[in-house]
Amino acid sequence: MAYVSIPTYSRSIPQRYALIAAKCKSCGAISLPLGANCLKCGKILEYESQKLSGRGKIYCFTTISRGGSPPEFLAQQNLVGSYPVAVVELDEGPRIVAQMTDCRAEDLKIGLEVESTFRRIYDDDGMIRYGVKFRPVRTSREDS
Amino acid sequence: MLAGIVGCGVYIPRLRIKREEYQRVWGYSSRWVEEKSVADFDEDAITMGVEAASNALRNAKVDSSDIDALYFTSTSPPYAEKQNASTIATALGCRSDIATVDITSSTKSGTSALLSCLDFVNSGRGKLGLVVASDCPRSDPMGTLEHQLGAAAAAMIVGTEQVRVLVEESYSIVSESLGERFRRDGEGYVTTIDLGSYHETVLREVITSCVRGVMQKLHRFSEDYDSLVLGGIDPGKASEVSKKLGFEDGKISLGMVSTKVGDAGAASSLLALSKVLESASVGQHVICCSYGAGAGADAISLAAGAEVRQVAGARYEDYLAKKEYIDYTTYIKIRRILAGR
Repeated sequence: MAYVSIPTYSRSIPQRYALIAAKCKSCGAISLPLGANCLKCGKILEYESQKLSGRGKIYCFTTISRGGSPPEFLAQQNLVGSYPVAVVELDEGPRIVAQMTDCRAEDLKIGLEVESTFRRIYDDDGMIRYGVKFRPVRTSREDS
Repeated sequence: MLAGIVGCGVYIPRLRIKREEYQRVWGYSSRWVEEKSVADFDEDAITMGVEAASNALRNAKVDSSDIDALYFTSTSPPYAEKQNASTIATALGCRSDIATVDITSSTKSGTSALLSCLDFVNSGRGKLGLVVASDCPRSDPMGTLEHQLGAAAAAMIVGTEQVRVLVEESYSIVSESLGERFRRDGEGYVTTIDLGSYHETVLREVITSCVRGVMQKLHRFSEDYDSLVLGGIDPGKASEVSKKLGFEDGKISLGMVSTKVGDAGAASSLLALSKVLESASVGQHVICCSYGAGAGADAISLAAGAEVRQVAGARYEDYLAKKEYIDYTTYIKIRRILAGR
């Protein structure tokens, strides 16, 4: 990723902050992030909004080591070092890329159950860009 | 029916730093902090507040779209200007036609936010209110305050239906005093001019008249209460003040969070109150009094209702148990004291 302007970022704030996804009116599949077309049936997306649970499983993951981070994450890497990033398959279907937090890279494995948490992602234009990260589940499914 | 507390939730970040680390680096440490919680690199008062609020909504079985007002309070809001509550409301998925309020600049303000939210519901402006108190204050690493400053959040849902904790009465005190704890406009670090007994006298007088005030309004005495929560006050002073008020140590120990979490600023009072409510029994009475330098205090008298245990689910003790220790170097990096904003 590179620079995302504030207006562009703002348009996707409900997705980024609260995992508000699109439920396709044709096939019922859930799309996140929102594009012009449904991720499943490919039709032009007509949808109703749906707040996702934030629960899912690690589909695959990697570690971004020193020198490998996009510029907006340079400050994080300088202060914290390497950080884990995963493709998370959400319970509702979509797969999204996000940082893992509250864990060490060695704790991660494919299939690990994760839950979303609201965090600071990076700073740009003097503004804090907030969004969703994932962590290994800490609350049981019955509680949520 | 009058508004009361429908549910509450807390959040304590998982990172901790021990007193021994401060001893190792500086050769001295706070008298009373055994260990304290630390907001991670990607956490701040807003993100911790969202976690506590999510827990409160889940515990109260309230949907975020039913919230009519959000009161956010912190002495360390990420933005000194730009509404902070709007970030929390959006992250929780609240409606857009709700009242939002940021209350800053006093460690007392957890109770200010709770009382304001109760007024909002009692006035009929809305049915359900959400109070979010979250704080991770920063201070000069060379100063005497820095070691004690922790990080935590607490949230409460206020409503008139399914009230689990009744709010009986409140009483407030204000008294102008200088130098105890302050942060000038534009500065990032909270500071103090240590004036020992002067500040101790102010604190003692403000808190005792506040707690006595609320008891007198209800024609009650310290014997009528099961617990006294003193937010924003270190354990030594809390013990001294409560004895003066006729509360033995056993009645304040449950509401003492700072030895393990540190001084959680504006979140202190509601964090401690949540902890007390988690183990309260039906019919028990609690006074929650918060203090802020400068100085002001609010005391709230509460009574546990029939379903008091349902008020809190993701529990204080669970958060306290899940922890990872860090060293001082990691601490000053992730708290952006060594470098960065």
